[in-house]
Amino acid sequence: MSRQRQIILWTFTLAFLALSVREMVLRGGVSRPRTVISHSGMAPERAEASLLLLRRAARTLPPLSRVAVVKPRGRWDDAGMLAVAHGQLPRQHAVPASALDPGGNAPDFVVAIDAPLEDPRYERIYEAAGGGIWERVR
Amino acid sequence: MMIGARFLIMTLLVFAAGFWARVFRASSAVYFAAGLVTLAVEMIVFGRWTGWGLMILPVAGLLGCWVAERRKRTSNSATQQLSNHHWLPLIPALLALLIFALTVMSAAATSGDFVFFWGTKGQRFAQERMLDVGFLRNPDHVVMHPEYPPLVPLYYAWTMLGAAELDWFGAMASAILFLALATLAIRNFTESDAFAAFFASLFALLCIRNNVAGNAEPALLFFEVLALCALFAKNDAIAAIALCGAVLTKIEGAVFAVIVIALLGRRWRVALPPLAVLGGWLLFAKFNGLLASSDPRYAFSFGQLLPSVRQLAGEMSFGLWYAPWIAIALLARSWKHIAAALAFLAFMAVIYARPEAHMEWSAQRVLMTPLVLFFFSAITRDRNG
Repeated sequence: MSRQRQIILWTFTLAFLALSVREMVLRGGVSRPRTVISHSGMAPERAEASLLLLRRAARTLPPLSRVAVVKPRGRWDDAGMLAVAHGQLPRQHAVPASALDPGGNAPDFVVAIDAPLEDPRYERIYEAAGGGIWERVR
Repeated sequence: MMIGARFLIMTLLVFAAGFWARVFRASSAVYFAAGLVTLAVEMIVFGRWTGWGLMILPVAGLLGCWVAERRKRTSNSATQQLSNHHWLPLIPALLALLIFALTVMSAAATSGDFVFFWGTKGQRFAQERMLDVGFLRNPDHVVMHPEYPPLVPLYYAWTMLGAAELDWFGAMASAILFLALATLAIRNFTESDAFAAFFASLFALLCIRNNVAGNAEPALLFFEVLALCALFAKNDAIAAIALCGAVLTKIEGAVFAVIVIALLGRRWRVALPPLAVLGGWLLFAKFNGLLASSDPRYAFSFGQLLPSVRQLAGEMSFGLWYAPWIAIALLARSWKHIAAALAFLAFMAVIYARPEAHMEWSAQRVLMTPLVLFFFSAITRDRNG
């Protein structure tokens, strides 16, 4: 390989390495994350709090219980919340948030992300930074 | 701890599942590619699988390894080659992989889509012990992209065999393995530490910036690199295996395979297996109603074509002042590879020409494919002197 090509390759390699280090530092440097998304995305703190809440639900709610995950102030994201619920609640049965709507087959539990659930059929049984876990009482 | 150990063991068994590629004078990167393709095809064809049924190939592979190693003791050329290699120039490549690994394991480069559907689908498939088409075509799950090729979720499902829960950190870490194996393939093919270091540093940076850990881009990058390496080495069989992997990993992988076959492959032995796999997957998806469940909002609009080209040109900067393109342009000479990269860019301009394209969400990830094609135009010149 010619000297000129070697110089180009190594110069850009060092530049990309430096930029990678900068990128890593900007994202909080080396750390021991609590969730897979703790330092990623647009709002990592909120995402982490939500995943920690779901982890709590996965460990404490009865296996095979019907659980809906919902953002009470962001119902546009119901489909996304259902997808996340399927992944993060491996032992429970995730159901769409539409099950909470009138005439729906109301779930046993609701994980409400970011805001309280305003539904008289449910009582809060756990609260954390990411939201709360609610149990159906009526 | 147990979950992590299972993920590691099952990932190592992927190499064993691909051991049959030894007949093509393969390396470890090829074993992994062949293993992933084999397991994915097995899992699609079997319908409902059992752990022991899927284990047959890896166990046969391990036995094959053992027999081959016993025979190889008479020849120690490979070991000699390794021990003679000068390790110092490899340090920048290893450093790039280390930075990538630390960032990924700090959960600072994770894809949101990993939590939304790549990991979720893998976990679901493992729990049901099948590629669960009923789950995929449920209208409530349209956000999980039912039509996406299934290799990555099936790999995650494979690592879970017998368990109810995915090792999410392990699945995320597989991005490191894919980039490391791609770098190894570059190193083996070019026999140039400079190219390996350049590749590793560039794509580690892009993978971090684009938050790809856990989703399918690292796997796609690996298959693409392996296919292009094999084509240069005129190893049709390995190129075909890698193209099969690309086809089963992402829709862009199918486009990549078609472009590569048309512009670079030109031999039926390269074209036949990936086209058969692509056809098989499309038929499977069609008959199981997966294609019909795609979101209809994103219809092509001719009027959006020019804005799409303009925005794509902007996204190509990668937020790095076009440095990746400039660096390769200073070295590039193979017009075939440049044409292939341009063909892929044209595909992107068309695919994003729709009212709700949201190019800013995904274009820079997808742009890694034409960048890989462009990167190989530089390698060609080097090899041809």
